Amino acid sequence: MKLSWILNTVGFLALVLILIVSVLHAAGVVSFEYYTTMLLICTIIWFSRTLISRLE
Amino acid sequence: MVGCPQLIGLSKAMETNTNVTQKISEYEREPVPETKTKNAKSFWGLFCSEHVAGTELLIGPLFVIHGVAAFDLLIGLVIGNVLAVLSWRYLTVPIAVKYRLTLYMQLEKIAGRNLVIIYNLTNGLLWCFIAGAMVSVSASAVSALFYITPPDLNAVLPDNIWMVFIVLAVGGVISIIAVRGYNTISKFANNAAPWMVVMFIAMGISTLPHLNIHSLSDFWEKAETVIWNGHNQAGFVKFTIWHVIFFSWFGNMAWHIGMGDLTIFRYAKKSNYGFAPISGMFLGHYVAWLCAGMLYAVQLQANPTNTTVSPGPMALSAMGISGILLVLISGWTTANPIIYRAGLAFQGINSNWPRTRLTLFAGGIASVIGIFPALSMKFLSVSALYGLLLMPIGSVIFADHYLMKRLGLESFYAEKNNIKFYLPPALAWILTLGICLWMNLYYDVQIFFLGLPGWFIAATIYLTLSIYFQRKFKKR
Repeated sequence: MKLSWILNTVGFLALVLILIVSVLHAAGVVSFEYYTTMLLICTIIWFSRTLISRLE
Repeated sequence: MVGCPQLIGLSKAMETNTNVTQKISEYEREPVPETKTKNAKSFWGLFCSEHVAGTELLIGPLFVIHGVAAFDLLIGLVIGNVLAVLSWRYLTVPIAVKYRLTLYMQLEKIAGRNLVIIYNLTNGLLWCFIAGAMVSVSASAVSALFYITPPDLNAVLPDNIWMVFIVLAVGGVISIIAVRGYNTISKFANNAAPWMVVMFIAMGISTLPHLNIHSLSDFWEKAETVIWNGHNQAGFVKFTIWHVIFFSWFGNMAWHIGMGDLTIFRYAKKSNYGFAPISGMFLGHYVAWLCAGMLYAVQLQANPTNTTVSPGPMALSAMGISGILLVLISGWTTANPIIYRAGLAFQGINSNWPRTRLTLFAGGIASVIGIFPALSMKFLSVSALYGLLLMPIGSVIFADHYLMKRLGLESFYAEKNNIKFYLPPALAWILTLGICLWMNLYYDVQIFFLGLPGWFIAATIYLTLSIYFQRKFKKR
């Protein structure tokens, strides 16, 4: 129960981070390389969370 | 085209046909008991995940290609999507909640078992076309990694042998997964759905700097002059607000006025659950379509001669590898259940045919269809045709439920009189499509506008023929 709550929170934060980084990139604050790397990291976090919850 | 975890049973039930799926699904031939109904949250989640899919990556750019103006698109989509939601709420769901039967069972009671078989065959073939488009969407993601030139906007036949191999390989993998791991992929798709919604929004945001949009007033100016500037490409009919309204209303015609979602909503506690499609319509058929259109505008701005609709390269340039993953996963998770459903629909013709082989067969057809770029480039017409071909059956179900008793006629006539093939629904289906074809060929009524008159024509033919046939049977 506790693990699923943590995983859900981490997943939710990863999605929020995708949106924040996109806005920062659109505003010219972060570079395209930084933006795409962050998107990839958040994507990996999201799907890892799914994998961990299934293993659990 | 996949459901949330609570509704995996529902998703399976969508492909129900009378004999076949008794082994794998529930309540195919009986009403869903009150105790087995689902809560509203399940339906909101289901529609959200179903309508944020790979197809949106084709539809958004095609609006730009058809030269729709910004105002027409933004307002037309709101009107069309609201009409679609109202169609679900007031036409489909009341019937679903009253009888709690699948579309196939409802149709069997009205028209007899043999018409259900024909309906299954038609449905199965149409699903292969939609799955073919999704296979080509996923294949475009793979092709982008190998820098393969995408097909031309007006291409009909494939012009690159490597692209053919990639489509066949991607289609083959999707088909095998559809045979072996439907549940796993369903769960994966459900988990991917929130990520896909956010990634579509991020995709739209990522296009803003490329389009020189830095404020809300910039957005409107660029929307009117750059993104949806009203110039249609050669060979593509110019879209007006009416096209947008009718396409967004009838883009899912097969599911609402075509009654396909009777199978889903038979699990609803109340008719008000019919408002649940709002989630899918406004996240998928509004936000995702707009974002995909903006992505295409970036491509055109970079190179005005590059008019092809190939989601993979577009997403790669805007979002890097994550964009490729978005295209691949959204195409894959949509194609997978459609191929599975197509296999089951074919099995409905003869329950002794093995489902695994039929699913592979359906996947094979979808892969071969996916080779042809014309399918993706003309996807708006393809999806409109899909809905149109199935719509008359929905009209028949509506008329049977609401109007038969008022006219002193018997509803569920085939069941009550043990008829295997009741002619009025069959003739209503065929004649309606014939009249629609005639209107299209001789009066140039575009396919997007045929759904509405077609629905009334089908109901009128069904009721008129029912009066004749039921009186004739009574005299005997």
